[in-house]
Amino acid sequence: MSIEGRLTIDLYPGAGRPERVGIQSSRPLQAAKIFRGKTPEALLEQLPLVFSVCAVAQAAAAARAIQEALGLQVNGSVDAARLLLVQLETAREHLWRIAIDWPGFVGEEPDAAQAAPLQALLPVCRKALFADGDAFALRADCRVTGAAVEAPIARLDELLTGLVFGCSPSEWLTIDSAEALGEWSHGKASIAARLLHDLSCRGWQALGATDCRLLPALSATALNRRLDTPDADRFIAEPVWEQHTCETTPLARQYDAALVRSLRSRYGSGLLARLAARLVELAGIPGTMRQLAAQLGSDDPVPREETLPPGTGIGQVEAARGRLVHRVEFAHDKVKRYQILAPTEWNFHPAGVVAAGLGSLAESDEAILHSQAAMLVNAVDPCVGYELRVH
Amino acid sequence: MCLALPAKVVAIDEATDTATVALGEVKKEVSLALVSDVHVGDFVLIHVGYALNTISQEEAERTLQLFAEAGLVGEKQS
Repeated sequence: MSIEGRLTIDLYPGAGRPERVGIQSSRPLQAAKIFRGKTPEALLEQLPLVFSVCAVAQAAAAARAIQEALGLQVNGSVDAARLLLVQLETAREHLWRIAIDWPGFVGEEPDAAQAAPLQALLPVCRKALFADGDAFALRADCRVTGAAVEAPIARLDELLTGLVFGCSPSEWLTIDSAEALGEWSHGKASIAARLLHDLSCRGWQALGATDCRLLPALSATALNRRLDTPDADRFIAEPVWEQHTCETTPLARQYDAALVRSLRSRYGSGLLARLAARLVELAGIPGTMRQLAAQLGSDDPVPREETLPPGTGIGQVEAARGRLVHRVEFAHDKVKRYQILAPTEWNFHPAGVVAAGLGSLAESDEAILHSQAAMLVNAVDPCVGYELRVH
Repeated sequence: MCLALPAKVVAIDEATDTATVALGEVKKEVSLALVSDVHVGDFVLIHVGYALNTISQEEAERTLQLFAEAGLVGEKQS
């Protein structure tokens, strides 16, 4: 039952802080090779079956890569509808972390049932947008207006208000300072508020703060050049950009949000900034979905920014855990090469942001060190199970 | 890059909202908290101890076939 692989994270305590941090991955990174020899249609049908955890983001990245490679024009409505589904999937993943993992950090049992209604919302939204077919088919069509998704977005607002924020997500987004966040988290019933309050009481706000580089915007041309090399498999397993490890996380995306900036200036890019960035991102999703919904009905083609070699395409999508990159090469209408570069490989690089954060933990009590490390790993969030060992 | 495994539900414990699922010869306990209306004999996608959603037997078999093509499972897991 370890087909999906796992991470093994080892901390070797030293004088004052860990002497060494080891991160090993057994994730099956070459599974995408099974698409070699398949048609684009078969690939788009089979890919979400294999990569089913963030299946929407995976399918969106695949569709972008394939359409680029085949020179197919996508209209604005289809593109907006797909991104709308990616946003909803991101909300689901964030809420799962909050409902399933966060209770354990304050000594409570997971409350996964809280997150179940959001799982049910995804197929509802998908059907509302693509009533006549698959959202990620080569010639998918979306003929609805924003009104079609008003109800699911309102339901998302309602769920997030009740389960996480205790006020509407848009109202919560007015919290723009460490002080205001402290006021919000004090005395609130939601697990998110209680965890943030608990963190502050323990003085753990700055835990694991590092100054790891954020993954910059990467052009399709630059990514194509890097992935079309003999050592591409090694790059996919342990990616670095311009000789630096980089992070691609909710914190990286929300780095300049007012609240995250306030927390960073006080505590650095540590545990509190990471958890708050997840909340900022989650609170912003209904608004982002409404903006995307306003673009539904557009027949304007999505402009293509770059031209890669014929038959080659790159698709980039911001998935829940970070940037997801797909690359495809076709020859004679069949896939010649398929590659996936996932955010977990950037973030859990043996010398990456998690390794650096763990290496900064100055705690001598083994049990407390284990708790701190587990929170830090969870705050970045690998998409596989992991074993954390303090030696 | 994240895989979830299709597995068959072979027993359900309603008191704990968990199920015993089988993938080939291997059995495992998973939480059913994220899914509803699951019955013995159904197929579910499992990931890190949770059933994520139910899928048809056909989808489960096709997924396992794809995993087999990738060399991740044997051919006769389902």
